[in-house]
Amino acid sequence: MAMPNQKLQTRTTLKLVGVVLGMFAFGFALVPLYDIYCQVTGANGKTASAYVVPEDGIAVDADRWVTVQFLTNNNASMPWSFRPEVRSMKVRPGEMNQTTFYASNPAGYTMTAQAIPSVAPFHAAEYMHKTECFCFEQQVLATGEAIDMPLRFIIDPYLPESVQTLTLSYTLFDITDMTASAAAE
Amino acid sequence: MSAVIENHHDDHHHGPDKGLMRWVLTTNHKDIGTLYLWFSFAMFLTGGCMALVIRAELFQPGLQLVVPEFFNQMTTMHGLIMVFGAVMPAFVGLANWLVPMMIGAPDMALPRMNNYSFWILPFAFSMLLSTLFMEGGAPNFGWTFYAPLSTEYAPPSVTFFIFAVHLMGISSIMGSINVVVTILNLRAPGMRLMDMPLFVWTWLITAYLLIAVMPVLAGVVTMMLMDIHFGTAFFSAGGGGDPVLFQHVFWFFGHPEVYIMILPAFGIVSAIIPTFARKKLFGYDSMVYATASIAFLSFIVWAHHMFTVGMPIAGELYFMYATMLIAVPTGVKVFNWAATMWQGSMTFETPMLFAVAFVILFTIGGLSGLMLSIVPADFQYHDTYFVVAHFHYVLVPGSIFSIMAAAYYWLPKWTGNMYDETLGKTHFWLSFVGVNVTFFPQHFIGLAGMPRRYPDYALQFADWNMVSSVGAFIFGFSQLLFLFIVIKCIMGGKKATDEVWEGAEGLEWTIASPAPYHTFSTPPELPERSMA
Amino acid sequence: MAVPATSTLRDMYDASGADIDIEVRGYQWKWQYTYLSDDPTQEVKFISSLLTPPDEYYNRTPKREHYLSDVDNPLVIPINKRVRFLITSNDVIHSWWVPDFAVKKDAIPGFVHEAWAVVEEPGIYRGKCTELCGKDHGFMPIVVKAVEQAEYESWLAMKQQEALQVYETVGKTWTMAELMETGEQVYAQACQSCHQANGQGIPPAFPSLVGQGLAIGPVDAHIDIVVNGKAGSAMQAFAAQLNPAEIAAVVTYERNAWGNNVGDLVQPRAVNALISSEE
Repeated sequence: MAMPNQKLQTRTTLKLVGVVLGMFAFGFALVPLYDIYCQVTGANGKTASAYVVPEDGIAVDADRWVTVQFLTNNNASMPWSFRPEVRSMKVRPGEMNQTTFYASNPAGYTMTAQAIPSVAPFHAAEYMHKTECFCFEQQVLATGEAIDMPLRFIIDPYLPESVQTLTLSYTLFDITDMTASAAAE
Repeated sequence: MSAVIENHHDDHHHGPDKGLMRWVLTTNHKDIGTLYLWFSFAMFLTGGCMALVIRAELFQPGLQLVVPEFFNQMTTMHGLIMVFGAVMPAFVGLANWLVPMMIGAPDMALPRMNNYSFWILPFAFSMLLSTLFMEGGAPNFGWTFYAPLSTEYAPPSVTFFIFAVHLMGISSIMGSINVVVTILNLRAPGMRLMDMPLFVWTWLITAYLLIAVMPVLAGVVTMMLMDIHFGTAFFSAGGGGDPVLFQHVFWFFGHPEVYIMILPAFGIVSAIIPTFARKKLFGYDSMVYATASIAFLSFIVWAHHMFTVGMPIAGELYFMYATMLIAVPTGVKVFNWAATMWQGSMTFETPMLFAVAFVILFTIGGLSGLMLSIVPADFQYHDTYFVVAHFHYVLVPGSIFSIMAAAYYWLPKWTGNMYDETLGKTHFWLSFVGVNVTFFPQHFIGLAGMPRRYPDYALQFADWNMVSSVGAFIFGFSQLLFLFIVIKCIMGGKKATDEVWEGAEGLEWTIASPAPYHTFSTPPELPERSMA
Repeated sequence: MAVPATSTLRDMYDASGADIDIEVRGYQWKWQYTYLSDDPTQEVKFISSLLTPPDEYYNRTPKREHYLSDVDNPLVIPINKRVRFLITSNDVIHSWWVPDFAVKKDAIPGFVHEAWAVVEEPGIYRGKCTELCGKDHGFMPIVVKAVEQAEYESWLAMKQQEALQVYETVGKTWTMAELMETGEQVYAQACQSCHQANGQGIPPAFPSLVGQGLAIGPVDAHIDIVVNGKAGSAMQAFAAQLNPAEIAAVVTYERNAWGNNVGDLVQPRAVNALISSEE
């Protein structure tokens, strides 16, 4: 076995270093890549991107009623008041519906919150189109301030027949610290 | 430790250095193998003490000995130390000692990296064990460290835990690269891949698994680190992340990890049974293919650890079917071991006792695994003592017994002395009884409804818990006997021949006992038939 | 094995057509149940905590039947009705398991999962938390009482009445003795697991209340931290779990127990005023 020659060694080392740098760059490239992937496949029912109603509208399924239930909760020691205008509403697929969620900040300082949605049953999530939603939006409220946050949605007519009740849960998270440190940078 | 052989006329013969620095600087695969094995034994006893704290507390209902916070630290550290400190290093130690000898190579391909791989471990584990003395205590979130318990609600020592995991991972990855390069490049001329002993095959495949999944573990703990210290939200719903993401990434590592902990055991047992049955291994080719199938399948079944997490039904069904599939190649192996013994001329020295016990008890563990793979049934078993029973059956009378079998089988080769056979058999029977008394009742309490990681339990679980604890102490204390046997063997004993065991096949039995410090400095001439 | 398992799983995953919806929320270390209703005054929400006292699990008194398997407020459901459980968590991952219902679902913070059961036999069904969630993972059992429809309805009406009544007791003036008595009970159910029976807590995670901090400091700040919690710590906002009378009582208790003897007392209406001003 001949002794490894210097040129070969250098080439191999450079190639390996190149692979490492490439992997590192790939990590950063994943951010836009994932955006594209989600847009193309429509995956991730939690996407905050608003639903765009098709130009010729959606046919309303006049004979079918679906109950949409709203749950609101605070995570951990989040002190805000947070409740839905209505606990549930009976809607028809294809109809545009609207409701609001009340939130207020009783703490002695300005806080930032983020509402995280979750849908049960899981497979119904992709059939719930929110045209206006406060999901994943940062909500800043000063001491004592209150707000009514709107939700406008359409249930897709292709919602499987087996789903009669759909529960949308919002959990309010306190992200005051997270946004403060981000702002500080 | 091994004797210096003066009468081998190598190019430059030098024995090992004298003194402590020999061990710090050695690049010799036998020395490094020894270091790994002793390290693993020390960790086994340490993790074992933690298990005894757990079982002592669970001996009776009520909190007698420890508070729940400390109990959680014990369960966590017991798991981490046994998985990463006892089982994995033991197999690496065996690989170091045996693979070069089995393929007729003078040493591992990358001896200095081999040294680094070992020496990382004492540092990593000292750091991990030191967390017991830190403010807030040691990691207390289970060895599976699910977020957000391990991120937002963890004690300050979690950062040291993450660092220790990184170090162990680097050690494993470097060690595996070494194994792969050695096996692919340094086999004696004429030894084709399908001529290699099965232990070498299983380690080749295990090494690929390690290289594939340890980086995933590094990834998941780095994401944890980011979440804890750098304001990211990979695993926190509040920032748009998902705690379940943690579980997917962790188990993508975790499932191959458990196969990493069993494949070398399959190799060991495949070496020992043919020797003591005086009959060639049945179905060598199918054993190789079965091992490779198990390794491949291990990548696509991870979510069977997460059936209650709320995955879509299509996912749950897929993982159920894929998991049931793994039973097939595993069954092939068990059948082949049985077929090897069938009409063989059998004797039951200590290695064989451990190997036969392995086959039977590992099968029991495998059957409970099959039960767990059925999703609606798993809803009842998940996170109960039924799971604890399952994995302890495959790990203790599985992996650990195979390591002990290997120790008894190859100690005469390593030291030149026979171990004390009567004491060895005593150790076996105490361990066998201990292991079954400890873990079999855990199936019952799991089915009766006792969850895992509970420091205290309702009264209906009391009787079997008491039995299990008694078994644990029997098993635990028998290992002190094992320590005694090993030391006694090293110090002296009946002189071993080169072949040691009648019917033993393989290149390692063609060299002297004890094995000289340097072996196969010139490649051996292989006999015509295969070495399997 | 795979075939019957598949059809069973399909069935288990279909929670449609439920008669009652109950939100099950895991906390460190207790469960909260909310009976969802379109009418907010008809919605019943309560906490279900371990009933077994520390004296039993610290071996100071004998262990009674249902040791570690009993709670103060069980979940009550009617038989022969399809009950849908919406399972979530307030902090870490828990898991809600009732073996007799074949329901085990992880409770994941920020997410909601559904499960369902129809219970045919009246009786008491016991379950456990099955996901490591911290120190008292073993101390947050589940008890479900399945009863005839009539009994369920009267129980529900009673709970709704209770909620209303509690609200009304906020109006009266309480004596120190009443506050201390109620406060001690509330402390045992809601505060003791972290701050310990002797008030000394487990620092640094769970501070001591004895002779230091807000317990002997400004009373408004003390009420505020119990009502609103402390962000970034394990101290929850107890206004979600305790009514104003309970909060007033427990604050009074903490300020006067263990030798603190601050001497002041807090009236439920003061707590109520604070909470209302925040709404």
